[in-house]
Amino acid sequence: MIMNHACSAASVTFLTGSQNFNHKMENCMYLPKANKVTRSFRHALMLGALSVVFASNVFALPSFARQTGEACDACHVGSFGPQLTPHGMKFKIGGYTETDNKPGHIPLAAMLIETYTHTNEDLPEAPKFFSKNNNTAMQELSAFLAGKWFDNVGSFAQVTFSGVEKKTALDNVDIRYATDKLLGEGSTFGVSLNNSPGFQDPFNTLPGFRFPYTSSDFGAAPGAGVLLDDGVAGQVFGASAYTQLANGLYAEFGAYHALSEGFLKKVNLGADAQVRGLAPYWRLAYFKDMKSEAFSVGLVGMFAKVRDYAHEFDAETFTDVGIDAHYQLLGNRMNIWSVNGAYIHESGPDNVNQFNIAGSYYLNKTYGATVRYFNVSKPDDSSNGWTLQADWTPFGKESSWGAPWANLRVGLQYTLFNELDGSTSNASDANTMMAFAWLSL
Amino acid sequence: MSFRRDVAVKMGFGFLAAFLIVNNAHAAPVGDAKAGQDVFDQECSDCHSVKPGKNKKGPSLFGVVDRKSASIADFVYSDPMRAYNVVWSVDKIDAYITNPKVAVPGGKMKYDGLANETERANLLAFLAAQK
Repeated sequence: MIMNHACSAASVTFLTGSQNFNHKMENCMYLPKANKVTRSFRHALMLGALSVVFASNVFALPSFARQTGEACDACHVGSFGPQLTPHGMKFKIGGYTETDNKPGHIPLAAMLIETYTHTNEDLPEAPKFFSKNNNTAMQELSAFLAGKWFDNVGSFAQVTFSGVEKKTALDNVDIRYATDKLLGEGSTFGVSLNNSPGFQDPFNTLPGFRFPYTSSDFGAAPGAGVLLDDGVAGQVFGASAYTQLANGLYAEFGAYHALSEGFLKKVNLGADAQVRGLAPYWRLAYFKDMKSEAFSVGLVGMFAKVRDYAHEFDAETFTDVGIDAHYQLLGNRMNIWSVNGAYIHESGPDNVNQFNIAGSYYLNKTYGATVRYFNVSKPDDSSNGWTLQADWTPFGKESSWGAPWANLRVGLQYTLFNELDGSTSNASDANTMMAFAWLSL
Repeated sequence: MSFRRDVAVKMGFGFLAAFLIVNNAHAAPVGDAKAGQDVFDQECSDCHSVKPGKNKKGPSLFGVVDRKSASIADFVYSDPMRAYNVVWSVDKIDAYITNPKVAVPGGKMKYDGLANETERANLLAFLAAQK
């Protein structure tokens, strides 16, 4: 996850039929029910200088590979993150602390994503610094403090420069304590301090940590969303305690509190959706690693009262409950099939239902193809469509040139809308093709 | 040589031969090394390499058969593994990977073990070829 640069591109609207859709702006924040109050709230947010919030881009880090002595393909499907193998899921659950025990590992990494974006129809207005269509951008340049700090403490903490917004801001933060000494052989207990509910999850099914792992800042996205889909990401800080038991049970419980407006300004994040009081988050899953295959099935939930930071509008209550599952056929690791899906229902001013399912196949740890279907609906509109991605990862294997420093994924992603914010007739205007080069070291 | 002594000597050689055959069966794994590579990739390769000198979270398994335990100089072994003090014969490796936590209690290898005897035999054949 990273700053959603779409927010600057968000001043641009898509014309789909007779409706103006400010898709990007709606996507880059949590927008409550479209009742009279929240419509005003939404309008205020849209018009405000809301600069930077989080989106759901997450990354794989060579500092982890250097720390463990392992190749990227040990923890990541297709030899490049963020899609995790069972081994990678356990590394994350273990607090990013597993190591080859050699001294001198420095938990620093860097990453760059360069993109080219073409949309079916031109944007009505050109985003600042860019054109109405066919934009090439250094979308993200990130530095990470990622890896083991000391015995049981590690982190994944990120600062990102947006080449679209020309801004640097705090991004994902996940600092963990984990131990396998407390609950017996094979079980882990940990605590995560993080700023994005769901990002800490290990299973690649929840919105904060699932496909697509990168997407264009110039593309459209559904206006409707749920709290767990980056609704308050970056606006909060929370602690959760979790355990992975040897019998396969994964359980987590935590709570989030709003960050102060002053702090958000200092770290260059927009102060948009303020959680009132504590927002509880919970997770229950069953995870089984059978070496040649693995699966998880689980439940997730979050409750929050949310309002704007300026307190111009009343707080509204949102309750998300979701079910998710993933399955991986790993075999000897050369060719991996995966399916990841989640359904989340939100009760609140609107009843929102969000469904996502993605299937991927990686050949020879190098060539990947992923298909995703997404559907989000609320009483007055819905969006659905497909995301297709083909990618090539030349490095990241044990015998790769420059391992573990040189890491590259090159890909082509196409997002196709059947319906966008209630419109089917011209939804395809927003169809987006993105070519990307993703480097990390 | 009398008939009795001749029989006794022949029986002695027979027992010796049988002993050597049985013993040899333990020394040289009879599994399928090619199939064992798949087992290695599936079960071991996340944490171990068979490249000489390539240590991950686990030590390199190049030349592991008949190597003294905890003997790679630049790998940090757990105290229980250092105290284990065996030569990694095929039998010892077989016993270890069947249930590492029983063979070396308190060792740091996070592996529940490989119960399937055929897969272990194939894996051992593959490891024996890494030299």
